[in-house]
Amino acid sequence: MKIGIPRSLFYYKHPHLWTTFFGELGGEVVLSPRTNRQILGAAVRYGEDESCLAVKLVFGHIWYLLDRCDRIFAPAYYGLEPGRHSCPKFLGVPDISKCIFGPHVQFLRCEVEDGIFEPGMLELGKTLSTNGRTVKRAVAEALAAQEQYRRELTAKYQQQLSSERPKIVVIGHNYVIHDSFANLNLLSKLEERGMEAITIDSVPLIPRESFLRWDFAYEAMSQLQEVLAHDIAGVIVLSNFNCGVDAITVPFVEDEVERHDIPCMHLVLDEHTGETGIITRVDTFVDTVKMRIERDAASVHPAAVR
Amino acid sequence: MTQRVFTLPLCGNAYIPFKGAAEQLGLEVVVPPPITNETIALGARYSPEGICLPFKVIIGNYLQAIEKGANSVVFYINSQAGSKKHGGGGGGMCRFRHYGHLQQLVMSKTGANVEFFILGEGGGLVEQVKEITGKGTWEIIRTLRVAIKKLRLIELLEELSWRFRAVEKRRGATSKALKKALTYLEGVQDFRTLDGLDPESFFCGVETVEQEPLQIGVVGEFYLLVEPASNCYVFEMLGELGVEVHRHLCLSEAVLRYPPSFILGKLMAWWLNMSIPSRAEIAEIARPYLSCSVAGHGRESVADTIRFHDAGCDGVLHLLPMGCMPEVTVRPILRKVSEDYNFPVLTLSFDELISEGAIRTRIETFVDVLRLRRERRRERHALPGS
Repeated sequence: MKIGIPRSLFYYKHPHLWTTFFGELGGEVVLSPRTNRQILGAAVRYGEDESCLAVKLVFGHIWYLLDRCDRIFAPAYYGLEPGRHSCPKFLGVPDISKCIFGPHVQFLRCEVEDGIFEPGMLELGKTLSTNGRTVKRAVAEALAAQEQYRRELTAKYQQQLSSERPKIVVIGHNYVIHDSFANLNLLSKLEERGMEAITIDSVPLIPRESFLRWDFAYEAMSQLQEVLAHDIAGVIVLSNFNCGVDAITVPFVEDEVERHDIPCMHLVLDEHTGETGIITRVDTFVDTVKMRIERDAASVHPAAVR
Repeated sequence: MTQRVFTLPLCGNAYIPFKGAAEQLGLEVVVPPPITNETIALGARYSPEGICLPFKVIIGNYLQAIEKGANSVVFYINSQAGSKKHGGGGGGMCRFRHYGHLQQLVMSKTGANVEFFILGEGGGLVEQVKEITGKGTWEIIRTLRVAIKKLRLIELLEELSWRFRAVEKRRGATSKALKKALTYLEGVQDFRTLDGLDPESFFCGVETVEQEPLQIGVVGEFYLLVEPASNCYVFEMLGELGVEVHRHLCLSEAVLRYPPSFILGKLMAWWLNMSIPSRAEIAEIARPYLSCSVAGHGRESVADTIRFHDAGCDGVLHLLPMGCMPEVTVRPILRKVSEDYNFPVLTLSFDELISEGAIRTRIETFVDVLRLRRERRRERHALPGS
């Protein structure tokens, strides 16, 4: 059976988990390509106009997969942390797809609650394979692959922290910071300008008390507090226009960054692909960061001014 | 310590029972002035850009109430709602859940010095009220009983006013009667008197004409349904166009479906003696289109659109604040329901920039379409042999 995985939303959170899982179960995994102009076009055509870009894009990716696979995988993430919720917009994806593309589109569901994957994966595995041992092994392999990915991220983070270049934290949903087409190559733009872009998802998550009920918001706040303890030159908040979660999270993020007296820029993205706007803002931001660094260096070593 | 002067966000006429209850418990209350464009602009100036309209209106309420002397805010959040996937809803997973904390952050940035009391957030509702007022459990429950009863009466009055306004002979007679009834209710603090009232008797002076008005069901986001100023007074607008309006959710129903605690839920059901479809029934009706909750009242919107169709309504109006997480999610589904049932659904989304004229044009067109459909159906039935 061919299983289609849209390269959007949850994929960026768990890139290896689901591909490994279905691969181990003997399915052929069809991953939609990175977002491109064609997919964006479909997303704008089929997506709900008041949704955020990411939720529109998932319909673009599903559109791409329609004739290329037998089943499309769309997990139901109720919550990825104990006692917390995921964005409710994700939950409606299969039902809405059926409204848009017709009732014949078949979906695979896997329910994840409180960040516990095994029960849902075992249940889903049983519908795909009759061999219980294969299913168990697939679950174990998949979780190991995810753990490996996590370790790689942490290693990268440690390496970035020791970098000489000014460090910029990019904070946003995984599917916004890692979808380079949708965010107009922000990360490489920063690298090109001599900055070290630390993505928020690579920061180790240390459990903290928080009133934020969304798993993303909770994780991002916690990781932000963690990373701000280091020498950070600037913070870029990246969000999609009309993102409901960010409407709540960003004010708290900005408040936190403000307390550390670090330059902070909030970029809001939508389906427009013109890069000029973002280039101007990134240039300005990088200049601000550099000026800050020079100023601070001057205030530490008065001799340097002369 | 200075005396606390409380305020609360406006939510239709719901301030009447809760102001009464608070005063009964010995608190000083300042009700925010009626919502105008100025209120909304004021709230929008200080609120985050992407937040939904209700938040902005509420911030506007607070700022205007502070001008009138308030220094403490009471807000209610149902932290029980949406805790698990099957019951998920009632604002548990949507932005409403974070209103309390974000309000505190936003208000602190405005420089206003206000104390916040977020009821329902941590600890039981009654315990929190006890702490604020220093009164006993029994007195609080008794006051709450009067408030809830009064709230329900007000809602019934509102529903009746929509029925009468559609067929009133003299423009404005219904609104006048409603206003008089509300003023009367403001003074009543006795459960037995309230229990004995017949809401319909308040409208006996309204002269009506003989006709069958169009029936429109209104579904959507809760705040827009209960606060007329936030929806550009569409309910009155429809009534004046000769349409009888039905609302799918009111405050007491919303609270009853997602009660703050099991015991309070049971008590409320007993006091109000009203029957509402349970969460399971709603889920069952919506299942062909939506298999899980999408937070807020999204699933209710889908189910109630179908219920309004089955009840013989001519069309459904779907109201949402721009970008509302649950309601935007169900919008494509409502479009599909409309297609499948051959049932007109008009979606109106509201933000702080909407003007009444834009809404009026669309409402008038929608009503014209519904009227034409009804005439055509009647003609078809009148044809010999059909």
